[in-house]
Amino acid sequence: MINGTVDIANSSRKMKDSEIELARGNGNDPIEFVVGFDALAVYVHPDNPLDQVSLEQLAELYGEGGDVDAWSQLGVEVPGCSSDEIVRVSRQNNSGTYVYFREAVLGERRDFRLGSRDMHGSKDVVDLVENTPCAIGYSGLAYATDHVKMPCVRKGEDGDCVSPSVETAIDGSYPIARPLFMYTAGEPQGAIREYLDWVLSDEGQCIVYEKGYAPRGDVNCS
Amino acid sequence: MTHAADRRDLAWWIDRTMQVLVLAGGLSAIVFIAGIFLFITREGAGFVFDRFDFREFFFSPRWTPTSNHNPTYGALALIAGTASVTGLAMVVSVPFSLGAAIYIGEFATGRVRETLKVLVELLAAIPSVVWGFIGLSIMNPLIIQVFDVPVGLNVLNSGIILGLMAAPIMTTIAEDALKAVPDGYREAAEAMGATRWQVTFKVVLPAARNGLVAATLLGVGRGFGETMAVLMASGHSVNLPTSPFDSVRALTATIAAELGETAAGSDHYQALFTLGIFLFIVTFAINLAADVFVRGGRRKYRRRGRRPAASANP
Repeated sequence: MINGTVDIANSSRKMKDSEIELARGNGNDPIEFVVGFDALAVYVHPDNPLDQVSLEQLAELYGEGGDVDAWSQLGVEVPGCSSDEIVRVSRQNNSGTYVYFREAVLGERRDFRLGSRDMHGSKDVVDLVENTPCAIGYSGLAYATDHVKMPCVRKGEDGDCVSPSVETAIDGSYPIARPLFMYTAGEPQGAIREYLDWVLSDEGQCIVYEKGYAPRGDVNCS
Repeated sequence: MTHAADRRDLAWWIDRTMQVLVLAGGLSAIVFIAGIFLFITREGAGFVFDRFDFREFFFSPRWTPTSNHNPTYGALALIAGTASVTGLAMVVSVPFSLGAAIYIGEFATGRVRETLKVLVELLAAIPSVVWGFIGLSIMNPLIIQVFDVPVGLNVLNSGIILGLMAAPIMTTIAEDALKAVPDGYREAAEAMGATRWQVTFKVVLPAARNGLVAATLLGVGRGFGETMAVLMASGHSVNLPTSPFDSVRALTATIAAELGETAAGSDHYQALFTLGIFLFIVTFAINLAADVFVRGGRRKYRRRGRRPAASANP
């Protein structure tokens, strides 16, 4: 989008002001559309007895200076993981998922702790967790499979523990759900306008829903 | 034919055209390499001159280019990652490929030899993403089971994968080096009563030493430059490895993973190109060293070995 190669682009994070400036400098003015919402699920191996995890625990696990390194610190003993070490699975440092997780879980001022396995795609995270008993990872809910487990996430020690689902992402009770964007270069016209209208129509939004994402508003899909 | 005959017939023109084309082909390599170097230098220059901190780049393991408040560009962990994976790959592939080269070059004959050569070359035809996939989906669970470690994406995994990837080219070049040893050496040794193994080990291998070193160096260059397989099998984790079971991240893999979603012209983008400049210089040095060794080897035979043949055919 910044380089002016494309007419329309998907993004799982907001463009930064500096990026919009850069794009304008190259002669295109990005217009933002929210096309849906995505719950970021926490994934663990199916044999892992972990049922719930708090945002604070995630922050101490993933954040710089954090002190959670072992499954026993989260109160579980994981079969097939004799070393007790938590294998942190993350994303490469410029993915939207990475940036959103940092914002929502670690906070504005905190960085990720180095040494996580930084996968190149949402699906890779789930694949690795599926094959690795010691692992924990985060990725979009749409990438869930039957071979991984998603513990519920709570805010604070006594908060309600909410399972990731399209419904909890829609009603806002799931704490790590984010908007998904499409950007067009300038006001959309012609085929791009038609495409966006379709994406935002009931028909398009129902596909969003079926694929495991939350639509932007109320739609009736049946 | 009183005048000087005009020989500019069709064949002459074809000859001239082909000469020019071949010259252009030869020069294009220089043009491309200079162009590539200029391009990556230009893209990385802003970082190298303004932001580059020698101590941070070479001695800090903190690679956090997208941090909101304190981006750091320490490449030590990435350099250590590349070096450890390449090192282990050489441990795997040097015995493997030297053994294969010795067998193909010195022992195997006829059909077996031809089949083996083709198979070794086929090994080189497997795309690196397929190797990476093997690392991710077969080696990872296997390493977890066999060694009872938390995760199987590590130096060991990517070292083995990379070793297998580098083996074909090393085998081919090592075999060429063995072939370049004049038969007179072997015949002389056999005439003195040496066994096949003694001939190979005491005469042929020392004579081919330079070529074999060159083969190893090209393998190292291959390891340094390999991207996809290492990205998938190494765990891609910024980490100073202390054992083969640690996950690491390679220089090439970092560029591959991050460049695609980095705003052109940003510090991060330029830092990635700086990694590229560093990689370019290192692989260039390795290949140059390999070339020097190959030349050293050739000159030796010309001086000692090939003289009788050369004088017989002046």
